[in-house]
Amino acid sequence: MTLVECKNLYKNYGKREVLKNINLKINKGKIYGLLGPNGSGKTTLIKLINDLLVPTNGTILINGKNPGIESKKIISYLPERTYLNFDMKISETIEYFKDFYDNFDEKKAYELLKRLNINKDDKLKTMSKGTKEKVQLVLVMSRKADIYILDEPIGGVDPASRDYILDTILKNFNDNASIIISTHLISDVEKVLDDVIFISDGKIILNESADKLRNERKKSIDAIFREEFKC
Amino acid sequence: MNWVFDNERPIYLQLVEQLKILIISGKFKAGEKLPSVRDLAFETHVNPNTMQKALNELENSKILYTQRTSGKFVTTDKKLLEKLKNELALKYGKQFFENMNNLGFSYDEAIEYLKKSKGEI
Amino acid sequence: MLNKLIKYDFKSMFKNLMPLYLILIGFSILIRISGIAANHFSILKVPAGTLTILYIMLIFGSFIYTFIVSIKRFYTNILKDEGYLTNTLPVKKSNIVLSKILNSGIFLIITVLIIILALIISYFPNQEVVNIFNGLKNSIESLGYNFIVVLLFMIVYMLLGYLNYIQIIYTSLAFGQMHNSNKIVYSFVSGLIIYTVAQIFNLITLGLFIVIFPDTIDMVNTNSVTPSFFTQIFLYGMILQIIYFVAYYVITTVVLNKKLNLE
Repeated sequence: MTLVECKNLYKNYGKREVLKNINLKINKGKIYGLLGPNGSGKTTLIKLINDLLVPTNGTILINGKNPGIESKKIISYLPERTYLNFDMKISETIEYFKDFYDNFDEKKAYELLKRLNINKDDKLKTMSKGTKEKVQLVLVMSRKADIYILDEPIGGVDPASRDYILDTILKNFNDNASIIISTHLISDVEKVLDDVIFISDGKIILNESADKLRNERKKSIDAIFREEFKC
Repeated sequence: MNWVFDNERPIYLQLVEQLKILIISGKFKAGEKLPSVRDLAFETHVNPNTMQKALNELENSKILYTQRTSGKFVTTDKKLLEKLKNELALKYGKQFFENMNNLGFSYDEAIEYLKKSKGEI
Repeated sequence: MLNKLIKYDFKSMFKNLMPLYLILIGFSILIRISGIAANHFSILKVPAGTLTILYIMLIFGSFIYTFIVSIKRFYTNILKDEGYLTNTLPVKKSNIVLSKILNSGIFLIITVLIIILALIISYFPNQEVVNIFNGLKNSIESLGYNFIVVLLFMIVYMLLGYLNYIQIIYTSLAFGQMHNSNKIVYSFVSGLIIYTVAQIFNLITLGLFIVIFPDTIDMVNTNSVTPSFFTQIFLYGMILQIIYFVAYYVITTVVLNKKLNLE
């Protein structure tokens, strides 16, 4: 079942072509790595899937429909930045997610916070960047979504918590959902990826099973990435 | 079970190797039921799809078999398990001699070191 | 979903405005005390006078601050980092915008009520105010109008006018964010353009009004104004404000739907 389908997708910012003829299928039950350097069009593609941008040409279909309110119900998005209202307490952000998302699991969110030693009565603005990122991840992973899009989920997090976060991501994995992870920390994450998608200069240059690549090229995904994107 | 993976080789093959060791060493005994794919994947911190692929490999090699509603079981074929055990032992030995040869030791010298290191244990 | 959006916008703006309301009330008590003290000790009349000037500045500042908070909420919640959450909620963009507009109105009303409360605390009872009030009431009723109706009408009219000023900023911000750089500059320019277009539209509709109701000019010239004159003028004004309200709202929603460009 194709959850996300991009057909001949183009996106321009003014005259600048940021995405060129993207053709991509994201199927359920898989974990994808969306890998590419800064400026490759990675973030633009993610925004398009999330209906934060409108295509210049071509189509994006989420579960067969154009991005909109229905797709937002089933996509759980973790952007690179902190998108919560800093004046809120953690418990208030949980109420917020509960209010707007039917598929939000409040109990799970509190459990995850407890395991990460985060106090629900703390205000976001008193927290370190790393803790804020953990809170966001908890909120995003506590939704029973069909598509999880995680942009740098372990980026600002200390190495000790990274494993826990990867475990949380794996635990959320189910046959009906797909997870798209976009990251620079490829070597930390690559062992959990089913498929890897390399994007460069607005085009997809590689879309392959991770293990198949390792078998063919006898290298890690990280090494293959460095090869493909040598300056 | 915190296995360390080599990112340069297919993960599922490494899972196959680790699972074989677990079976041979008796952690999963002959005829014993394996935990579910999800549980196994979670314990070993890997993608359930990759674990599934590894289990399929083991099934193809007849080391595991599936009972449709109850899950996956270790084979009761003791001869097969013996064969596996021998294969793995030979593999370790081969690797030892390869490593020692790389350092410049002859086979006899290597065996001497083997005896010496036994004493160290 | 609109209710939920309203709830959270309200909570956030309230957190920002609550300190102002406390200061207003606190200051009003201070004014009352200083007034009483100045009556007993005339040397305190000058400090009391200074306080009064500050009080007036505070009251004017309250309107400005309320306006700014309304703008800020729109900007940070939709166009800054929070926008990554707000714009991916499973809600209509039109409702996101509407919630901000409604809360801007709600908080204007609350600010006004708090100011009225503050003035009552500081100065009630004050015969001059009562006299002015009665004078106003009488002149309106002498024209044959119901005072309550006129009062309500004026409140709605001024509220709409205020909300339309806010919306001009919203629409300008929406246009400004379309660009990748110099967003503030583009917002500012858009604002000027929108304001100018609105003024031109005002002139055009005024012309239309005069064409449709030629007697109005006569009435003004001969100084013999009939009650229907006011009714026509007020209706014209109200309809114009409603047109602007809808126009700004639709334009802002369309731009945010089709041309969102978060950084």
